[in-house]
Amino acid sequence: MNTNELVDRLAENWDLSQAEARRILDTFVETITDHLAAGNSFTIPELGTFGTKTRESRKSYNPHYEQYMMLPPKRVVDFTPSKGLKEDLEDLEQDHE
Amino acid sequence: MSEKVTFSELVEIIAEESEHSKQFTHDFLKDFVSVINEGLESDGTVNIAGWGKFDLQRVDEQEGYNPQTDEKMLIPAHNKIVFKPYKDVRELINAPYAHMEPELIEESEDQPEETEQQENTGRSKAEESESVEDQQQDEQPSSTKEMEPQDDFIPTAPPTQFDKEKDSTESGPIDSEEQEQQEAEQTPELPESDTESAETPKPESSVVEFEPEATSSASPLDRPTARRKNSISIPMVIAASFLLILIAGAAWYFSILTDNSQEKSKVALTTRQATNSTKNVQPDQKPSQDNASASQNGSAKSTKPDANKPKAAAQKQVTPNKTGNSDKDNRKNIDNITIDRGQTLWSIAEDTYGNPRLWPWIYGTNEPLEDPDVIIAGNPLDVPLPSGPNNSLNASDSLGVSKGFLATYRWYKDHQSDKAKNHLWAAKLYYENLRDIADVQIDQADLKYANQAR
Repeated sequence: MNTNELVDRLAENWDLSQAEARRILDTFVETITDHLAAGNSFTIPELGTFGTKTRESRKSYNPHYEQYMMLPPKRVVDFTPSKGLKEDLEDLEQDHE
Repeated sequence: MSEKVTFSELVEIIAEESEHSKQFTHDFLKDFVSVINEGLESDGTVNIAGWGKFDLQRVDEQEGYNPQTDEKMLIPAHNKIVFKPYKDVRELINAPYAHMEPELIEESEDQPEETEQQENTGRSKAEESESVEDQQQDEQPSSTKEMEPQDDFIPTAPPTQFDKEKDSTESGPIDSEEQEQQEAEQTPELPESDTESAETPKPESSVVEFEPEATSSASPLDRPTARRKNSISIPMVIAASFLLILIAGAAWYFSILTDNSQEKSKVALTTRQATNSTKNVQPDQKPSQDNASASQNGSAKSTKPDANKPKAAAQKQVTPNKTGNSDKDNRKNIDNITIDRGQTLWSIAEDTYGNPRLWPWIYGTNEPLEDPDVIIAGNPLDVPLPSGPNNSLNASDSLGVSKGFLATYRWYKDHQSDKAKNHLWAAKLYYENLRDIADVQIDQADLKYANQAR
């Protein structure tokens, strides 16, 4: 499902124009990325918890240069799906792959 | 810094920004989540523009341990939900570390010693053949084939070569003696090399490297390299020989280059003495100055830096000098450069820090700059350098960065640009107590925006 389909559905459900539904969605995305950038974490019910974590710098082998490299630390988004969602989808047979 | 934001707080902010009631926003988001869930169930993937992609991934049945009882157990096949943020988001999140880059670890214990030895002997051999080449085909222009790939391999060329060269370019005509000495140093190695490889240096060296492996050391070759290489795999030998050829080409090229640049530096020296009152001349300033004077009238702000355009031999020298000087630069806190044609604050920041977003730091350091979007080619520019280890920012650096962002904030605010509040936000990111350092009027709404993001 892509953003257009998502916006379609939301606009239909709430009797909004697509532009309006999109605007709310964009606001939502902007708000949460701002929070993530600031290092805050938050939970969205039924979906999961978003946060950031820092990966330590580590040694890694670069096959191209055939040498070991020290990779710098990295801050990444950490997503933990909510339990309900996980259980719902855990045993779902996937036929679309 | 890292605090937990509740869902209702999120709803509140979004409701405020999208001008809907809290109740509506709450229900809308709930519905949004359920649509995502449905999408995952039906398609297995949901893509949200500007944010990221939720994916359902199948995990096969696998063995695992129960961490409490240490018992082996079978984990049944299941789906897992992964979220992959968009690149923009990833970069935003990683912003605090974005200026850091992977570093080569010099002494890797897993690498066999033999390779290094082989490379050393190989390198000296390459130098020998190079000096032979110098003598035989003295003024013949270098073949372009060698020149092109050589740029990539600059860091692998012998560092001593750079240092010598730097000396000779810096001190100009005075050191012509040293120059001769340097050449003399190269030649003594010549008599030792066997005549066979001297006559046809390049093809020969590749064959020589390869032979021992092919014949699997059946014939005892008299060269020490041949015996050592028995344990090394074929691709490695090929790679090594290719590398050696490149190094030979590079070394030869640089020895020619020294001649050229010496003449140039005579000219450059006079202009430099006139224009520069500071004695603290950066070696790579000379070439850029040459460029700048050539393109004095060029306008500044352009999107693509054309630094890669090969012009004169002198310009090519910028690259090796930079690598050679990185230690030197770290010790000084401000790098004094001349703005090159096509450079922008953004591009300079990217080249210097690896993180273009730090450009306001340069802006803040240069008082005379007015419009942060316009710099003039040919003008001098002070580029502050990070003084922390590994090119990272220490406390006073980030204070400087914050001040830079405040300066850009002020400019954009004065010119009613929407960018202003973002710059205030960034300033707060690098220094918490903005009020202590703020010498400008801060708009309350902007401050609220900056605080909100914390």
